[in-house]
Parts: sequence; C-alpha cells; structure tokens
Amino acid sequence: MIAQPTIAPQEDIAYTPGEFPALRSDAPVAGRRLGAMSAFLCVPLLWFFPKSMGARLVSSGWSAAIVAHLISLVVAASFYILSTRYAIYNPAGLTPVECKDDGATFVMVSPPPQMSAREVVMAPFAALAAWFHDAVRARSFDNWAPIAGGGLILELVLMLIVLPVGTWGTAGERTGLLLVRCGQSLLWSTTIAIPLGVAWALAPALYRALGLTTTNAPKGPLIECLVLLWWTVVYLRSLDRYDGPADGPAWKARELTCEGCGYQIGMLPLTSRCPECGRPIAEMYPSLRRPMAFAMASGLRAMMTGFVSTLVDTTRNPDYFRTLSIRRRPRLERRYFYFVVAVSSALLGLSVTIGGSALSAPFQAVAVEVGIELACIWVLFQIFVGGLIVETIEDLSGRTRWGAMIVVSCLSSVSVVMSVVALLLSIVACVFSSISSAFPLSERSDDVCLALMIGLGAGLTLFAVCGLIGMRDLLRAVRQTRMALG
Amino acid sequence: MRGACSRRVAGWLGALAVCAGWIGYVALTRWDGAPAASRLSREATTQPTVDDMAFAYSLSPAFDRSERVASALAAIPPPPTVHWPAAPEGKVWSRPWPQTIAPADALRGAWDPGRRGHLEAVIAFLQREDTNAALDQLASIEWGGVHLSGGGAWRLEESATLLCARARLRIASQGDVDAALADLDAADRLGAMLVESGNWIQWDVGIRCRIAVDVERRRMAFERRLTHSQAARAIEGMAWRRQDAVAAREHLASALLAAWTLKLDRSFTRDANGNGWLVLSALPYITKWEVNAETPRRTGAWNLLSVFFNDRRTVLAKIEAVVRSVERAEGMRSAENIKALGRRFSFLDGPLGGLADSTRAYGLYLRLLQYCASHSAATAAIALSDYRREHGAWPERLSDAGDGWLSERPMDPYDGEILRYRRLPEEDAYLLYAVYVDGDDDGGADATWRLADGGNKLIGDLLLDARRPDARMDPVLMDATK
Repeated sequence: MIAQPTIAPQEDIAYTPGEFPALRSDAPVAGRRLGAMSAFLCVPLLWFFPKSMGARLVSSGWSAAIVAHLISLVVAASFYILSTRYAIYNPAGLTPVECKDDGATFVMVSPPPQMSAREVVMAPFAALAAWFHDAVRARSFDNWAPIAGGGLILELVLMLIVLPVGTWGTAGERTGLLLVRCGQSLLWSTTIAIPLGVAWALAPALYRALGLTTTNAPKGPLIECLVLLWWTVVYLRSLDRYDGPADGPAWKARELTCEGCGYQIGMLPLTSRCPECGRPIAEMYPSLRRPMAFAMASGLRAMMTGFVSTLVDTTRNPDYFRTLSIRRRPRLERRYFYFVVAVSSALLGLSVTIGGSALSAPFQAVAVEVGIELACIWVLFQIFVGGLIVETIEDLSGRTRWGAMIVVSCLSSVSVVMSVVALLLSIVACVFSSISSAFPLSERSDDVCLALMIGLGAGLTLFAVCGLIGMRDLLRAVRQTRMALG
Repeated sequence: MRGACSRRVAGWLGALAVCAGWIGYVALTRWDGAPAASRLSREATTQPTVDDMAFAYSLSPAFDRSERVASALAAIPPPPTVHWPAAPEGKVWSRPWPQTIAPADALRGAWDPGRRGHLEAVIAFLQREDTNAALDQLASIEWGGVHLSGGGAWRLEESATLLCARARLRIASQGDVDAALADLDAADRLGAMLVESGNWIQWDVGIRCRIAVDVERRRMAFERRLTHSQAARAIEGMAWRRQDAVAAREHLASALLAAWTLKLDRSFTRDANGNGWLVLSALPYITKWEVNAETPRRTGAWNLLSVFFNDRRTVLAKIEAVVRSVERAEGMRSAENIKALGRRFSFLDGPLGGLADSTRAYGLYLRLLQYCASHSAATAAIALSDYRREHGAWPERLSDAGDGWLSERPMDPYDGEILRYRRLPEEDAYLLYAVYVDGDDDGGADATWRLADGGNKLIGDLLLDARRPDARMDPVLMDATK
C-alpha cells in the first residue's frame, strides 16, 4: 500500500475532491410487503404487472417461493399429462382418430367427455396420479436416485442459466442480495407454468374457436420460443424494482484512483500529475468522460439519432471507450441494450425468412416460423451471453456491475452489424435464386451448388470476422475502462 | 423483527399441521382399504363361496344344458381350410380376397359350385356324417339358460353359422325348405340362449347370430319361391320373437349393470352407506380392470391419491343412468342419449372409465336396433316372397305384401316408420332398407362413413334386401389391365 502524500491545500489551486459521492444516495422505495399466503393469491398478477409484483413476491421469502415453485411444477405436469397421455379425457379436446372403411382412410373425431365442475378441476391431478401410479407399476422408474439427482441438477442448471440473465436487473446492490433476488424471482417466475399448463389443456378448444387445424396451427417449437421470450421479459421486468436495503457499490462513495496505476489521487491539485506513474490528473478527470449518445438523447427522434451515432461510434472509433462514462446509473444504456437486442434479432429473423424463401418448397413453407424461432432464440442468447460477460468483467476487474453493464451495452452494437451482414447475404441469396430459376436448373445444378457453398462459406467467414472484431472491441473496451473515474 | 419472524414461522407450522392432519386422516382411513369384491370373498361366513355357487349351479338344468352344448361343440370336426382359387393369367378378382376362407363365408355369394370351386370342399364338409351328427345334436338342445366361457360363445356363433350354411345347402341342393327352416330356427334358438346369458359379450355374440339367421331367411325368401304354408311356418317360427326386442334390451341393461357393478366392486371399496373410494393399492394399472387374486397388492400409500378420483356413489350414478336409458330406449334418439351418457365416464372413474365409455353401451344398443331392423326385414321378405308367388310380380308397396295375414307391419326401428321399399322391375328384385343412424332416407345408398361435421358421420341407409348384401362375398374375374 502506497502511503498517501500529505499536501497542504492552497486557496488559489483547484484540487481533486477526497472522494466522489455515491452513484445512488436515495434509499430504495419499500414496496408493500406480502405475506406468503397473500403472495400465492397475487401470483396471477405477476404476469400482468411484473414490475410491481416482482418485488412484492420476493418480499415473501424463500419458503413461499420454493412452495410456489413446487406447486407450479406439479400443476404444470398435471395439465401436460392430461393434454398428452389422457387427451381423450380432456374436457376441452377433440381427439382425432384415424379410421378405415372400404379401403378409404378418414379421420373420426371423438367428442370430449362430459364432466362435472369437480371433475374438470380434478382431472389434471387425477391424470398425474394415474400416470404416476401406472408408470411405477410398469417399472418406468427402476432407480429413484438418478431421477431425484437429475431433478436437482436440472434445478441448479436452471439457476445458473438464469442468474446471468438476472444481472440485467441489478439495482446496484451487493452481489449476495442480487443473487437472493434473482433466485427468488426465478422461483416465483416458474409459476408461469400454471397459466401455460391451463393454456396447453385449453389449446384444442382455442384452435377450434379460431378455425385452426393441425396443418395451419402454429407448431410446438414456435410456441415454445415465444413462451420462453415472454417468460424472459416478465422475469427481467420483475427484477426492475428493488426495495431491499441500501447496501451495495451503488450506495458507497468512490475513491479517486489513477486510471493508469490505481494510485489514490484524492486531494491532489488538478494541474498535477500522478505521483506514481506521472499521468496528468486533468486527463483522467471524470468530466472528460461522456455517456453514450443514446443515453443523452431525449425524445424519440433524438433517441433514434443517438442509437445510430452510438452504433457508429462503438464500431468505428477505436478510442471510443477512452471517453465513455461508465460510473453512472445505466438506465438508458440498458434500454439501448434491449433495443439493440430487439433490432438485431428482428433483422436476423428477417434474413432467415428471406433466405428460406429462396430455397425449395419445404423450406419456404417453414421459413417464417423458423425466422421467428431464431429471432426469439437470438434474443435469449444475447441477453444470456451479455449477462455472462457483465459478470465476468465485474468479477475480474474493479468495475462495478453497472459499469460492466454499460460496456457490454455499447459492445452489443456488434450484433446489429452481424445481423445486417446476414440480411445482406440472404438478399443476395434470394436474388441469386431468382436469377438461377430463369435457367434450367438441371443443366446448372453444379453451378448452383457451388454458388450456394461459396455463399455459405462467405457468410460464415463474415460472421467469424464480426465475432473476432467483437472480441477485439471487448478487450479494447476492458483495457480502456479499466480504472475509469467517470 | 423477531415478532414478525415468529409469526411467519407460526403461520407455516399451522399450514403444515393442517396438511399433515389431513394426510394423516386420509392415510388412517384408506391405508388398509380393499375392493368390495375381495372383501366379499373374505366374509365366507355370511356370503356363499365360489364352491358353494358352483355346486348349486351344477344341480340346475342350465348346467346340464351347458354341458350338452359344450359336448356338441366339441364334437363338430374342424372345418376345412378353403383356399380361394388363384386368378388365371391376365385376370384379377374384383375384390381383394384372403387366401383362406371360413366355411360360412365361403358359402355366401352365388350358389354356383361349378364356377366357384371352393364351394365343393365346404359342401363335402357339411355332408360328412360326423358334422351332421354334431350339428343335429346342437340343434336338438331345447330352449333355456346356458353358461358358456368366452371361447365357448365364439364357437357357438361359429356353429350357428354352420347351421345357416347347412340350411342353405339343403335348399340349394335338395330343395328341402322345411329342413332348412328347422336349421335356421335352431341357430336362432342358440343365439337367443346367448342373449339371455347375462353377459354382455355373449349377448353381443348372440345378437350377431340372430342377425345372421335373419339374413339367411331373407336370402331364402328371395331366392326360393316359398309356398304359402312354408311362408306361414317361417313367420310362425319368428312369431315368438315379437316381444324379443324388449327382452333383449332388458337383458342388455341387466348384463351391463351386472358387469359394471362387478368391475366397480373389484376396484372400489363399499361402506355401509354404499359409498366407497378407488383402491389404487389393489390395481395394477388404472386404465385396466384385470384384478384377481394373483394381483400383487401395493403399498397403501397409493390410496392417498384416490382423493383425486370419483367416489363410488358418483360412478354408480353414472352406471345407473346409462342402464336406465338402455332400459327405456326407443329408436335413434335414445341411442344419442345413451352416447351422451356414456361420455360422462372418464379415467376419474378408475378402471371403469376405460370400459364403460360411449362406444360400449351405444354400440351394443345400435346392434340391438340392427337386430330389430333385420327381424322386420326378414318378416317383410317372407311376405314379399309370398306375394310374388301369388301375383307373379313384386308388390308396388310393402303394405300390399302379407296384407291380412301379417299381424305386424315391418317397422324401421331407427325412425319408427315402415321399412322403405321400392320395386326394381328391370332386375326382378326389390330394394328394402332402413334409414339407419343418420335418420335420413338416402334412397337406398349403402351406409358409409363420411367427412361431415367433424368427420364422424355414418351417412346412408342400412340395406336389408337379399339382392346385394353378399355381393362383396362374390367377387368376379376382371382383366388385370382394368
């Protein structure tokens, strides 16, 4: 530890302050706390008002969250089994049965059973009990240890996957508090399985009402992706509000340290240099760093302009992060990240749809669905990987979680570039396909295959190049913001 | 802070206590439960044992009759394996045909042993002495109750069909209508014995036998010009069946009630109030009903899950509703009601949910309606044959036939009207049909499943004339190129 030099202040010289004030001075607004029983009743509101209900449900503690999680798993499994294994007894279902008569095959539709209100309520649970009873008899579970262990591991993996996602909901509290909040929110968020289970069971009736059949109804993977996206949105929104104790980096005053060597430069004259490395103090003063352009914009038009200029700055300016302010509350930076995620995913989905329409008939039919699915997956992937990078930067360096979040938000611009590249490639493929279709394909099939292979190779190369650029930018950003004061 | 914490702990402990109390109560009352049927067999002091019942049964006439039926069935030699001839070069049969044919099926179609070589093997089988002796023994068994195993019922059906085949042979080769009518009456009697057996599976087999006999009667009346006395005898032979449909319906209701109640007793407990719950510990599988002494009993903890299933009283109410509706059924409207009541059953009723579904009672009642229609059509066919013999042509209207000596009009059980009839002068035949389950007169179009209103509509009419019912059994040679 280097001893702090004692400097007698002089009135005509400007000095650095001894420390900067904390990023947050406000105490978190305590929401109305819910008891365990009230929380169970309020669970359905979570899916409509996640921001306010998320904090309240978390206030109910671990035990209530675990019970809610277990109940939701049981209820969801009940509805799932009713809809799959006992489908002919689903009150909302019509079961198509294939029949043959005089050599002709046709579909007979078995009407649903007529059930009393009690039976409708009990049917899912009875289905679960019946399935369990018969499965044990059939020795489907010969060894319980792997099943129990597998379940626990699955839960742990789910936690590990979800915690990086929850990073985006940090309010500046310390890591322990954030982990608790993420864990409890995750447990409460699994109650989404209850409405989903009910919806699964009611799906046949809904399809009937909408005139959908097995051919034109949305397929399972598409629905699963959309549900996963919905769950992620609700989960992140439920983490938005924090009403815990004011305990964390955001509420602590910051010391002034040299950006080059970490030497404490509090109370030094602004015109002096770092006593350790000789770096001018005026060059590293916080006021020299600015927030990203998007974060300074107000109004929709300014935000659009800010988005474009941030995009250009982060991808074109190699010294951008030398002037980026990372010691601030990242409200708009986080919004920028979400915006980038949405735009890049939409572009990627669009490019897949366009590219798919250039292929043969079977691919054309599913191009839109695959495009939407891929867009959803890309959203989830970016949020997860972004959170993972935030945690890594926060752990490996002295930055706060908020600072790491700002850095990653800026770097997310790369994904827009990658999506634009994908879109351009798909447009080229589409044009090429329409040109090649003007000629007899049988004569030029080798050329077409070659062109497709070249296109695919070029696309992958471009993606790899973009990825490498992103990695380079990340390293550069980490280096340039290592001990940023602003 | 400490107060809030202790309140929270107290709340959770209270909730846990309530849950534990409830689970404990259920466990105490249900852990040791057993199905009512197994409990009955345990109370040997008050209930007759299986051996007691078997001894009592062995003294009854039904036992003796059943023994004779069984010995007659055992005496029938195995029918020959009849091979359908291969199509000549460049020709194919108009319908795909299995390589081996059952004798009763082989006899159907045109009576033309010269063209249809496979008939000769069947004729030889029916003319064997041992076959005739066994069939005579079977035909001589008097009317009365009979108790057969499942396999015995199937063999009885096969033998009744052989009697029908022998009747056909007797008419075609010897012209002995009286002997043929006797064979048909015997086959009809055997079917009726099965109908009254008290078992719904044997009821179904018996009804099918009797429908086959009616088909043979219709064919006989169409192909042979019966004398007035023969027609009167044939009508007289069927007269005892006028009230038969009502009896068959009641037999069906009681057979269903007995079968379902037994299955209920095998899977549900029964307390003093007649209520009970599903004994999951005694069931191997919920969707199957096979519970017997060898079924290993599982831990009573399974019975805790029975709270999710219906209680005995609820299931019994559903059974009784179906049985009552069968008892009072009249026409197709009742069939729809039976179908709707059948849809109340589900797996919440335990093993019964898989059995007593809509297809069971509804399908059996449809079979009963088909039997009624077949009976009416056989009566009408004999009357039409008599008219044809007297006037030299088929009548313009069905009511003209048998006018004055038929005591009942041939009714269509599906809509309560008289059977539909149309003369076909160019073919020297007639068209006779019932409106069938859709209730619409489709002009005699053969019934078939059609995609309509979700795809489960049986559209068309039930053809009851002798002109076409066996056309599918009589394929013709066609050019392979066609």
